[in-house]
Amino acid sequence: MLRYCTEPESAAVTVMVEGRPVAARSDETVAAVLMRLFGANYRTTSVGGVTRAPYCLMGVCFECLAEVDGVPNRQACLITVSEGMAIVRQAGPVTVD
Amino acid sequence: MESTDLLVVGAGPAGMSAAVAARRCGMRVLVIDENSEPGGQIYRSVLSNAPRTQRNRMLGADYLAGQALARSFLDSGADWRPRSTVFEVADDGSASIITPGLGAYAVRAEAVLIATGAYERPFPVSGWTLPGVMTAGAAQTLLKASGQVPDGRIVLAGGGPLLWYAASQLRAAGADVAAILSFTPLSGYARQLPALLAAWRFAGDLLSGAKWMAGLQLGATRVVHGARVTRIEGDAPRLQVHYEVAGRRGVEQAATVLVHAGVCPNVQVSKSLRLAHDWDEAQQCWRPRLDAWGASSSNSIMIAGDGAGISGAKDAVRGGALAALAVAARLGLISAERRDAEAAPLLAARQRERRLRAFLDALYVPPDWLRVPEDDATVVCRCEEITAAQVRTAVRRGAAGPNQVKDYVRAGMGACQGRMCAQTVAAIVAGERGLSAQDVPTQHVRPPLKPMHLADLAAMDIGVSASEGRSLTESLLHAPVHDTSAQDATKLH
Repeated sequence: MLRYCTEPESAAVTVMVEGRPVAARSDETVAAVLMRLFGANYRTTSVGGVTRAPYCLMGVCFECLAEVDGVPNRQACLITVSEGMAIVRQAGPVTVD
Repeated sequence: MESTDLLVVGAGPAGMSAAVAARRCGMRVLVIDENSEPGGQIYRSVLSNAPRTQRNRMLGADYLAGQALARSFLDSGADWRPRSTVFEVADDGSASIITPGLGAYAVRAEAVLIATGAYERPFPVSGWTLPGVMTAGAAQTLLKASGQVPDGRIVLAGGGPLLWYAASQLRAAGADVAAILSFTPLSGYARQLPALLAAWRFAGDLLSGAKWMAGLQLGATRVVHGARVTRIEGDAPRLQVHYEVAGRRGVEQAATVLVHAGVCPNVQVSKSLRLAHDWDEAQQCWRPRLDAWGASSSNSIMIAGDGAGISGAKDAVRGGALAALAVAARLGLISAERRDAEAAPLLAARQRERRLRAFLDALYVPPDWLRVPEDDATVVCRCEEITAAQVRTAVRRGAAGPNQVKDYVRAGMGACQGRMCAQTVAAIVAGERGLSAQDVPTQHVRPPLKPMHLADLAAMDIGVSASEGRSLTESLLHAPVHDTSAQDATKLH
């Protein structure tokens, strides 16, 4: 879905995406990392379980929701990655035990 | 409670300019923004991109022009809090904010400047919710903030200056800009010739627009004028954009579809305050009612930039400065004479530029098919996954307006709090009930303005008596009885 269009112009960082290390650049947003890695399989919704991916990337549409460092429903387009950040995609409705 | 003279919400062109002007007048200024850097959307990441020569070549001179303003903002001595969200503004000048590391807290200001800018209109055609479909502005943001472009064949659809601007930047970044489906027919340009001639003073701005368009026409990009997008289908990276031109049908294959139908003021804060708003027929949007300084119908609340009505980044800089001068004079920090002397050139420039704006408004007015979905199966409320058919049924069953539609089918009740659907729901209500746009009530906006964690709210030091203003908790405890039929009826009688 996405690709870098320049040589690295920022520092290299490693983030943990669903438990595995992923190389990223320090100026990338969490949303950009997930789009680059997973393309159309960005997340599934809590209402209908349908597939969605970021739409506005500026904090308005809430399509980019992801779990960041253990906190669910974060607007991933507003968060810049940092070393060791834990990122998890959101899948469908959440059930409470 | 923390106090300041001017609280600025949003560090885009208007907010940064207001902070600089307010500091020059000796005010204490606090500026908050959701993003990690100043610049707003138009100048997003402009300072950290300064040494990134490759990316700057792609983004162009208009973008780089934001560096000077961002630098003078950071040097102004304003208290700058990035990554911060306002979740409530009260009309006495108090606001509740969340900042990482500080948690949730309240601030009391002599004046609050709302400088939350604009966002792209919804593009409610069937398939606009598919992964791989995003806004043209989103692609610009990816380029500015993350140095990335969509991979594979890109089709842009819609209209407005930003559509062409984004396309030319993507081309410069080496992306495969295969086609542009422009909703403006060629005859539309001819029809706006008088407005174009009236805007001749802005030859520079018009020329850069013409250059974006001409550059694309000359390249490998296919440009279709007067195209109406009927639906988007498929699974990314194999999407099909179906369109019609003068009754003839066409299809474009795309890995990514970038849609754009112009921008509208982000009135979420001013609506939550129930400030007076007026329907702007030319721009097809609600805008807060303001005086020449940006003062709203509430004493403590000023509004500047595109959130006051779409007028672009250069005018937002003027609007921010005007608001700061007005507050400084009101607080007795500068004389009325100094205020007026500094404002005169700004007001004059603003008046001159109205003609350019009138031309752009007329040329790129969103067509009817982008206001009311033609296909009943089109999702209108993305968050709650509510279709145009469901909204229409709610209205036919007696929902008087958007607030009752929300009660009936939850449209507008999701995480985005109506930002993506309010306009479309209102347009459907207007169509079903035979009302003009300004007679349809708007969805009510209530705090918290962005979803927040209850733990943040619970940990908030309220520490105020009722006389110091109502906190969010107090607002919730004393909220009036929720009667949507009355809310929707107010304008219907």
